[in-house]
Amino acid sequence: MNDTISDRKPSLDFTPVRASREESEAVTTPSLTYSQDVWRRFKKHKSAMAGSIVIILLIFTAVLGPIVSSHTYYEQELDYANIPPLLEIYKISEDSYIYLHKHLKVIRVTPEGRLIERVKPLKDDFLKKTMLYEINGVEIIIDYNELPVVMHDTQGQQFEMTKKMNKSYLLGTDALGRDLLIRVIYGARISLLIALIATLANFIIGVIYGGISGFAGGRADMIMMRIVDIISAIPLTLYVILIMVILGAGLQSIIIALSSVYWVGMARIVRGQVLALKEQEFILAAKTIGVSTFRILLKHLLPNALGVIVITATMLIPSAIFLEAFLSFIGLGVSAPMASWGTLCSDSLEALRSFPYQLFVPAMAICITMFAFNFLGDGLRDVLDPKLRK
Amino acid sequence: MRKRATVAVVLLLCLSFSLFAMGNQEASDSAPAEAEAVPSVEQKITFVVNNEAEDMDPTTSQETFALPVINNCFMGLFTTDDEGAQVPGLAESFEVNADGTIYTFKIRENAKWSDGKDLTADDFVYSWLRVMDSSVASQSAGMMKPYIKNGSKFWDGEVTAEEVGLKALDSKTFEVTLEAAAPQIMQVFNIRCFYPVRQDVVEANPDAWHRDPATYICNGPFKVKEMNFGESVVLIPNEYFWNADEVKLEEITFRTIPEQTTALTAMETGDVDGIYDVPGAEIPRLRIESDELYILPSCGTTYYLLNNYSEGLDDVRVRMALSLALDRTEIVDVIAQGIGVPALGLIPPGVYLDGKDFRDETDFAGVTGVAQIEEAQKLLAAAGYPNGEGFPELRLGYYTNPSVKKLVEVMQQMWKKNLNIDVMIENADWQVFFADVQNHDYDIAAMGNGADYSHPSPFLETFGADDPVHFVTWDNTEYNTYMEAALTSTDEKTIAENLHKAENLLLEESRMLNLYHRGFTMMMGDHVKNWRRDVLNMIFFHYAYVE
Repeated sequence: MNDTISDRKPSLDFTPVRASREESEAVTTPSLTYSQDVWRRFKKHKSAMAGSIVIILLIFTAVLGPIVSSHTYYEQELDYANIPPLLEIYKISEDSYIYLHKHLKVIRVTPEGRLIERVKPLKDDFLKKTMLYEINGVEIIIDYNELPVVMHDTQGQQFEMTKKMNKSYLLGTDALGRDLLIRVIYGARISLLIALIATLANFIIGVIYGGISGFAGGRADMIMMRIVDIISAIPLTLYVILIMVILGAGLQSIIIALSSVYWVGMARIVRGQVLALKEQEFILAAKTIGVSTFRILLKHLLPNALGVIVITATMLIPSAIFLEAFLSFIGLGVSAPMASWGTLCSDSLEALRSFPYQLFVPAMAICITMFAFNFLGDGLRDVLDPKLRK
Repeated sequence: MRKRATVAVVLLLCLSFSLFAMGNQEASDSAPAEAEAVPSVEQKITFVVNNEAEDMDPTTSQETFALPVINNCFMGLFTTDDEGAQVPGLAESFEVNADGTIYTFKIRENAKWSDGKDLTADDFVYSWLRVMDSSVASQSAGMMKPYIKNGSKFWDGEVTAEEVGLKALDSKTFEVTLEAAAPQIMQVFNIRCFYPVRQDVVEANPDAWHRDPATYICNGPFKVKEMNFGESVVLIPNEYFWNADEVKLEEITFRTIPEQTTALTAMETGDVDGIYDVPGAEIPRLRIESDELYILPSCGTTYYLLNNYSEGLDDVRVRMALSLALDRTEIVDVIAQGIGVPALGLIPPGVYLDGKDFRDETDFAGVTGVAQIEEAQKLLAAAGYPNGEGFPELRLGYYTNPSVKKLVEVMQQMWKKNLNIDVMIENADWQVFFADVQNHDYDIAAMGNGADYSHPSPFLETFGADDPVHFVTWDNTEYNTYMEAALTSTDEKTIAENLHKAENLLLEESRMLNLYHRGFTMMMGDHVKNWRRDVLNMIFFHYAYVE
């Protein structure tokens, strides 16, 4: 490779390109704006795409789910308390099927796994540890002297068992017989509401506060940042408890607590960005031609810091959701019978050993949402950074 | 649920009817001969309690979690046997004068303190005076001073200690003079504030003598070996106990595990021998799987308060409608996991007065175990809210607790479904909640009462004019008259009659929402025998052994 093309003899297969100056400098790839470029790269970023699809699905479910579902989040069916998603169905006779609950409740079901009604025992002999049921003329004896529990008819014949999904309550019911699925969907509404409020608080208060602090600089900056320090020095749980003493428990207290303190992280980051940007030439130019401070902030500084702001906001959303779940878990959350993911988790703890699915379902919802937002945030960081452009 | 000193003015409980319900059926069956068998296994048990007591001084403590330690380390003049009947404790015998006002107790010659010193009548005089000394400010004072002659005056500082009706005739003879004859006094003597404490150790360190094993000098079957705060309290036999030969356990460890589910796990893996309480949601499973679950009756009722100054609740028809719309059987099944009894009245079953179970004689004012929806709807319509229209949104307050939360959610839903009315559930921490209740800042509030002794009066007094904690927004002259008549009488029949009138009035007026009578649930390994927990929540391991 030490000789150049011009030194070679032209072969028959190759002819030199005689391009004009215009042609050789033409840009052949399509011209992309910043946002087009971001979108192009975002589409290639698999985990970010997956995250955003999950979030969109979540929003759809949260909005539409309660409209579509035949259950409500507060309606109780005490007979159907603690029914798991997977039912063990016994065939009693040709046309009657029953589900035997862990607590020895007998519920008549269809062969497909739809609940019909609870059957009360004819006799419950606590001392002999047997129960007698009659279903469609068939007498059934449940014997729980030895574990596992044995169920047989009067001849001692056991019944054929199949496992079926619970068709009446897809994810099972809680301790008061409420549909767990619809409660998790309602929980998603609360979590997404919290996410929205956290984002708004971040954007409105955090960005403006940080921007002003960074741009004004000097003494104003010093005072404003010390206020931020003070706010972030007091734990959020304490704010929530104090606010709750005044306003009473409930979602509004969490919202007020969140929006009053949750912007401090954002304010710090925006301030840092503004401090770095404000010494740059285009800002000096804007100052020189007499653009007002506020306009410089909104039109010149913030758009340039937007990438960082969006990433920070996305990364703060999961922690806001998690915080709400945590506060609800320790009993400072939404009032009953409303359910958020945190209260669903804490309600399920009592019966964890018997019905682990009650914890699994909301915990899974929290996990998936956390992952989705974190993936989205990660992806945004990659695609919004022009230095990583390929 | 609610700890408070009940002003016990009158209680008439015949000794013969002191039905302390039996805790452990098996324990009572075990023949003494069998108990004498040479123990071949290690006589050590570990019992889990859910909280640590701050105050283990029998004179002042009102804490539930101090009971296991106090009941096994101290003894009063009397104690109870396997069947729950009252038998002599530190007193060998006693005499009563003709009009029943002077009791003379002969204290056992071999009654000693755990450091070997002799236990004398002077110890009793000192300890009882301490309960009634207002400078000690014992919360239990109300259970002693009304009975003892000049007790209340001594509390108020009007008389000196010498004038109080307590006298040591000689070192082993203790004379008690009562204000007036009170047949129930025999029951009252069993309350823990009547246990003697040692003057020299108490006076050396009045606030903390009970926090150090070295100064926790006691007189019961056991004494404290270690107090590892936040972890456990370890008891070993007291060799100076008058009946020390009968004590078989060599060590009892009361381990503190605050989380009930953690305690249950420890129980099920065999790390511990017994647990004080069982998480409600696990009871149905344990009923099927475990032979070590005990469901014991308790002398307590869960009821919810109704504020009759709240709009809507000022009408008796509304209150009755709210009460009738509740399905108490379902509440017990789902919430109390079948361990309680639906409360149709206020007084739990098993409280005997004038030879009859008090509950048998109660008129329940139409309340039954199941919801009477039509009746309730009619009453609500008559009160001006047909189908719940225009009904004000009431606040239903409760304190942070998983099973109480479930209960209020069920009640809210029952009212919504049966009466079409909305109530708003409000949660608060117990301290905040209780302060609100005392300030009458509630519409409907979760409450309940566990008695200090088996008698109707501690339940009914709460609704009377003389109640010191007065959080009930009711001041009814008729009710107060009945209570006054009952509490000043000495005739059991009159007392029973008046207390019945009072309870019936309470129920007719539907002054509270009586929900269910409580029970205790606990677990104890099959190998532990001869233990007992009575309706007043006292756990006795005195003569227990491991098999």
